[in-house]
Amino acid sequence: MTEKNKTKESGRKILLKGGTVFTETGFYQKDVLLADGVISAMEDKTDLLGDCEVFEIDNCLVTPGFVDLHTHLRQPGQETAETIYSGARAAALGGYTSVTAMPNTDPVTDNLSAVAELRNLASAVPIEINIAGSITKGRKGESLSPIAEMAAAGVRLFTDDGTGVQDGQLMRQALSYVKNLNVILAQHCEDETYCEEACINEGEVSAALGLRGRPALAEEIMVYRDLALVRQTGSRMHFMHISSGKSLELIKQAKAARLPVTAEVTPHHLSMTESLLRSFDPLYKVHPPLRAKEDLYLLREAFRGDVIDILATDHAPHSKDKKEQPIDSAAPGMLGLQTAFSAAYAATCLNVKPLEFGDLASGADWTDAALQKALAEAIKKSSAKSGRKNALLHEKNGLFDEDEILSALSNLLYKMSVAPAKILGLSTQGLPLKVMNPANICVLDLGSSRVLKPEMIASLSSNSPFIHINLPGLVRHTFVNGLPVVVDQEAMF
Amino acid sequence: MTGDEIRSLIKLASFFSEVSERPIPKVPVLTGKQVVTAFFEPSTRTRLSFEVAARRLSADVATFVASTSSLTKGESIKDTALTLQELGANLLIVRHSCAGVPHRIADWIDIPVINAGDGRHQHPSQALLDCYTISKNLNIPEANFTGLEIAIVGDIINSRVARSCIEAFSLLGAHVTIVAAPTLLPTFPIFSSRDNICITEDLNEALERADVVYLLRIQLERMEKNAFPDIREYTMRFGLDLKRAALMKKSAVIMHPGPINRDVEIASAVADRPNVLTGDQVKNGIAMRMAIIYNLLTSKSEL
Repeated sequence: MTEKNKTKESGRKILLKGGTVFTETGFYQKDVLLADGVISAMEDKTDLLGDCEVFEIDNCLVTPGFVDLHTHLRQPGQETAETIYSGARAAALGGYTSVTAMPNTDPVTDNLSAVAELRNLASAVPIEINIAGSITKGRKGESLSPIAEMAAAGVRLFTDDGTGVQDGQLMRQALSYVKNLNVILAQHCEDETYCEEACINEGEVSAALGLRGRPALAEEIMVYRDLALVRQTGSRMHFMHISSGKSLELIKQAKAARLPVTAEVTPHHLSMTESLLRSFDPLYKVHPPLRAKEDLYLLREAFRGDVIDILATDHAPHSKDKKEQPIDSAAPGMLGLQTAFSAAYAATCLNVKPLEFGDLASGADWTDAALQKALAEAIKKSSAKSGRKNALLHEKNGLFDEDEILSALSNLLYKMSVAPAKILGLSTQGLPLKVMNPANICVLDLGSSRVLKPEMIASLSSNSPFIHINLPGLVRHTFVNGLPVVVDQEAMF
Repeated sequence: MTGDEIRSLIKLASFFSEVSERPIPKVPVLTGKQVVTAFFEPSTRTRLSFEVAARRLSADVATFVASTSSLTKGESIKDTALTLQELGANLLIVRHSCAGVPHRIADWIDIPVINAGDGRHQHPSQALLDCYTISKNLNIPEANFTGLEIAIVGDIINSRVARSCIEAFSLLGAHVTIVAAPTLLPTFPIFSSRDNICITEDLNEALERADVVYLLRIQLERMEKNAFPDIREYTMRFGLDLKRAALMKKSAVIMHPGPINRDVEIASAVADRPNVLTGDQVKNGIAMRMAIIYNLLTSKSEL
């Protein structure tokens, strides 16, 4: 697919002019030339590059295109909620150049021909769609899918996401079986025996509303079990959408013991609390559920540190009729691709306070104009100092610690691009910005903000919790193999 | 709601009680108004009570029966609610097996909505009629419950009646003792932090102090597995039998939201005693629901 695109429009050269690039060693003011699908030059000031299309990107930041390991594209089975095409557009608009389609479709992606069919559909969209397979046949948690066969065809990630594999011995067999297959098993950690009829976090809100709760305990117990299984089998494992503070403790210990585990967090768990469920609006129903404020702050801290490896969207489109239901029977999940960067930028760099029930009526503002502007300036200043991070140490400008916020930003960009690509072992995605690396990149405007309006949603579903919220940071452009797929916040396909 | 709002409804209800005593128990205050009851969960007494109340106010009453409706044909609750509004309803009275559905419906439509019980969440009209019953039967002027000791016994976690009653009784100043096994209490201690609420497993001790003993129905349909071993053991620990009834103060009364499981939460012999107010609760329920409906359809004030 990528080859086809390259040759079709070969000879097209694009110059990104006036921006700052995010690289492994820091921020640099450089112009970037895209040609033949790769970054063909990165120069301080390029008058030299002659005949090319110019994108003026003053005050913008060029970063590797984002990579999502956790995307529900709903095709086949729920094409009214999302398709590969609509989901790919949402992804590109969110700065993603690569997403991973979860296998909980109908039918389930649990065999080679299902994988082949999906790849065929995916070849029609310009961004990379990685197909994930299920660990168990039909996601029934009863017997293993033909994992080796799918692995041989290049499937790298296997999960029963939607739910976790409940049977511990089956999970042990799965981990043991894949030991030498160079794949990664990813788990949705919630032990369903603690979640009967339950729909929101078990805690103050569920008690007050008389709703059965899905306790954090259900997650912690499965995390604990799976860490024990990893210790025993030695196989790699990825923990999806961690939501509880105590799970973080367990993962931290496991990492200290050098177990081969990685973990993700979603933008919504970093930015919203269970209090939103006081509205009874299933928009905020998600599994694992939005938790207490203490959990949220622990997740933010873990994301800034080493316990959480990546940001993952858990983009979960649902059609209106699945959401306009009583909260106990409404479908769990929310959109994530288009707003992931802005939400995580607000939560982990600008440190905005979490969205809570009281904020809903007024229409929340998650921007911090002064801080955003100062950050944009700090990036410029940093790059003027040849990107030497040390030069910024202990410099404060009254608003914030520059070093701290720049490292928070670097951390976020890294965990949205390079880190997830590494976990999946992708060869052309999430690579640092370097000459001759594939030009899968996006251009961010950190100083600007926008209110998300319903008509901006590219998904076929509208279950975004961020509609009507003023969000900081824009994804201006997205490029795949050196070609624009999003220009000025408009999808080109 | 505030305590004073409850008190003003009690005042209104006592007026409507007098109306109910008249030879023709009807007042022409809501002529031409359309009241619709939409019960998405089986119920007879609450629905009937609301319907009788609306008719005594001369409103027209229509009944939406969920089991025979298009919900079984896959229509969403939102579409159903909008349809009922378009049919000309001025007031919707909603019961649903899931918490929050009346609130959601109130967000979607422009007419007032009364929550007639939502899942394990709230049952406000029951709590209000119970406040009225207590103030009337114990002859408490101005419904000031200060100094009154109320024991609420049974399945607290699954009971919308308990959630509403605990809140209403304590708003009026009563001290509430919750009697239940830990498995029948909310998993998060929402009640234990308040001064005028205490929690115990010792029914005998609570009975000795109580002016009102409020028994909850064991709701097997809502019960989590293994909340208690079996009905026999529940009755042994939390059932009001003859022996336990003897511990109660002479002046104390017994209440129950109905329907009663005889010989489970209350022994049959106790249930038929004159200090059991279940009949008054039903009668007062009509008057209180008249007050609630009247209040919503004649002024803009929210309940």
